[in-house]
Amino acid sequence: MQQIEHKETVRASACRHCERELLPGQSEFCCAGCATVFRILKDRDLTDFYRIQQMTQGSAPDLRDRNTTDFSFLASNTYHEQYVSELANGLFKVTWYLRGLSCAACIWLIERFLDQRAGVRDHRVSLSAATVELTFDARFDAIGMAEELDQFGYRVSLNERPEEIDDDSDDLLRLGISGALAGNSMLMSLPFYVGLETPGYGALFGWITALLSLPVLFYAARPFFRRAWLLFSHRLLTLDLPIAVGLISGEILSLSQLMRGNLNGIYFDSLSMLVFFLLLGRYIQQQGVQKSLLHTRQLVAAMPQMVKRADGDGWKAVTAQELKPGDRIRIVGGGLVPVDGRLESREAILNLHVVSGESVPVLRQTEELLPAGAINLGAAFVMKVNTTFCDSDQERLRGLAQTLKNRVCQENESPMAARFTAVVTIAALSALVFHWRSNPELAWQSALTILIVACPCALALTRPTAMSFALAQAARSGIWIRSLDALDEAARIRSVIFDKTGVLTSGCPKIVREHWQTPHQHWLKGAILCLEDGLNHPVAHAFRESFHTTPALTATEVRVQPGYGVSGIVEGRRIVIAAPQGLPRFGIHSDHINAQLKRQNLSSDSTHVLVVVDERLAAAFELRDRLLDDAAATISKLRADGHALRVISGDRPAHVVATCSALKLNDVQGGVIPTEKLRLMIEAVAEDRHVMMVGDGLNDMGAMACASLSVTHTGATEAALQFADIVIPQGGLLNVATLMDLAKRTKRAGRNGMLASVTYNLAAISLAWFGLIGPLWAALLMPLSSLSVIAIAAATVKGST
Amino acid sequence: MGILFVLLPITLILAGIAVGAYIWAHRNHQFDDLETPAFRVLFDEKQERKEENES
Repeated sequence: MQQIEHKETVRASACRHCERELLPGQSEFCCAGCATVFRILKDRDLTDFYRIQQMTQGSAPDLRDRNTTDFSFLASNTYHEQYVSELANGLFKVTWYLRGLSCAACIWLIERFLDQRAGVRDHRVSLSAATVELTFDARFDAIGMAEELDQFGYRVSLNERPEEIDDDSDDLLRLGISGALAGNSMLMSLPFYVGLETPGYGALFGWITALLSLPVLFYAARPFFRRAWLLFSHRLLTLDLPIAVGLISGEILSLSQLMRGNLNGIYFDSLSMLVFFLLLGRYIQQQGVQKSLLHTRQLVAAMPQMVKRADGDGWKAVTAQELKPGDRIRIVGGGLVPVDGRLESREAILNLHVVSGESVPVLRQTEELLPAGAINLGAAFVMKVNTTFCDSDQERLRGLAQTLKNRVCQENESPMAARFTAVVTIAALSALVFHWRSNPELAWQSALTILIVACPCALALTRPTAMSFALAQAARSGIWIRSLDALDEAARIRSVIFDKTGVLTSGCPKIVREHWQTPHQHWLKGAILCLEDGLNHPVAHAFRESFHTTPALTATEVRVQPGYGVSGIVEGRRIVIAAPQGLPRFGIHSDHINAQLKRQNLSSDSTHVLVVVDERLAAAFELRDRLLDDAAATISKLRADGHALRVISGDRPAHVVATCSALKLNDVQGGVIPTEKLRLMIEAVAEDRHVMMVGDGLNDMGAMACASLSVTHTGATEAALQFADIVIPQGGLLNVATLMDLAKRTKRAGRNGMLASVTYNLAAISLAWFGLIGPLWAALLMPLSSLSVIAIAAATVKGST
Repeated sequence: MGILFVLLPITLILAGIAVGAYIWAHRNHQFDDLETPAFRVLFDEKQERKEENES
């Protein structure tokens, strides 16, 4: 209790649970969710949560405006087959992703829950991966656990088992071992550097360094050999090849010199150091990429949907994959249509935003087609399944996108690497041939020196360091980059194509104008809110967002007419909230209202909602899908940078033109169906190879896959998140411009580093070719050049920001 | 210089122990999650305090 009082003194106007700013009229809590959670924590003596939260400056998950999730999948066979692995003696293991896990206090709380659960044998919560690894026995109730976590704002979701990215654990081992051995090896080589003359001891030190170099060569350096061989057998020259050749010939040469007793020709320490530095560069790069990967994994993790299928007299929950054509399924309010089908119930009101980009809810009648991906905004309805899950439009689009993507993503090693490899090999060979007649020893030595000194170290480090600095900087602003190629491509982009709904606009309509006809505004606001309370309709959301009051009144006889409006009785007055064309549905036929409406002069490109109290017009609202706050800034920034901008949307042309004229965008197309979008994108790419597509819905997926770079935001459809190259935070459109700036700076950093590296290499190779420097100098110069390259890359990426 | 025959093996053994310890730590997943355990320290302290209060 003590801590909580303390907390109150910190900020009196903040929610006691999540510390978000309270709206006027709210006391203590910002939403019902927070109030419940606070009470439960207090009852269970878990208020330490707040203490830890304050101590570590964490924040509790946002509990406002959440949809409830159906966790029945956790009881299905599919779940047990695909996600759970069985251990010995009746124990099972599973990894859950937890959305909302963001601070130390969250970990503490979740661990307390897990401790109290029956059947949980072991658990490991990881903050960086946002996962919990559970070991449990048969008593464990997965659904109950998931529901409990969900109540507190931690949403359980699933993803393929994260095995494929575990590969780096070996890299760390290799890095550590090569570092330790290289260090010791240098120490043992010190006698050579200071000029040890006593023959017996020299050989002793030589043999020790030779011994130390073996694990480095055979264990730590194995990835280089493997990749060099793999790519060589595919006739590709990469930086791994000269490394591999240099390592092997260096080792053999040093061994032969050691056996002949020539202590000036052994370089085991240099070789070990070389391996260590190369591994270090690789590791730094991988850390950056992996962090990015980890985050996208969390984004695409989801809870597979369960559907209620007609089974005899009742309904049985099955996974969407199990559905067959002819099945009858029931979609509850707020539910997602899992496969294409036809409506059986009388009517359904749907949000087709992700399917076609339309921003206005759509009404469908019996026997009309329902596309997969549509969201039910009204009451529950029954539909007949037309296709299997894999054949539904949604899955086909996703499959198409994937194939296109694979075609584009081919191994893209820079031509620089191949050229460099060729030059180094030729230089080494020519030095060998040139000096061979006069002095075979010098020939070997200068060839080896060239291989070591021209070690592409600096060259190989430039890109990774610049890239990982860039990735880290992007991550700080919430931008997640899937691959390094994507960052490369962002620097080359010349034209950008935007989707409208959800990308340039918020995707949910907002009240833009209010026309009040009654003096009792405050009362009516409360009445509207209590009628719309709990409805998952865009209009209801718009009212809730616009009126900052809590519904204190109660409504009776509430009737929702999907697609038309809602009516009910509040304090004896009958209130109807409906679109103008929906009024007759509620028995209101008044020319008087129409006449009143005319006088209001409502604009024609917005959606209208009327509020009628006892047959008289009390208020009229104009709703419009509003532009994002930073849309204008983004557009003008991109335009100033010389990018060609274009909008292709599936929404009605009138809406698209109205929205885009505010942004002074001229190249605008509306009412475009997904396949047409794909065709337009193919044309655009053919015209100008570097086109970026910013989209978020299923209708954008074909186009996004064809674009040379696809960008989406965190609020997008899961399918879009799964393969977009770059993910920006929802509502942060300006990040598109930030990203391109960053990409350009990274490219410049790469170029600067490359320039420095080439200059160094040219100078060093020519010196080595004439035998002016020996391998010792080469070994000293090499790390120095690497360090300078890292410094240059870092300075350029940081740039002006 | 004969002392080298004693010192060198010791050096190598020490280095070997360090590398061995590193491998052991790695195999025991000590480097897997470098973020979460740092916070867990905070929780333990509080729990101990509670137990003390109760006793």
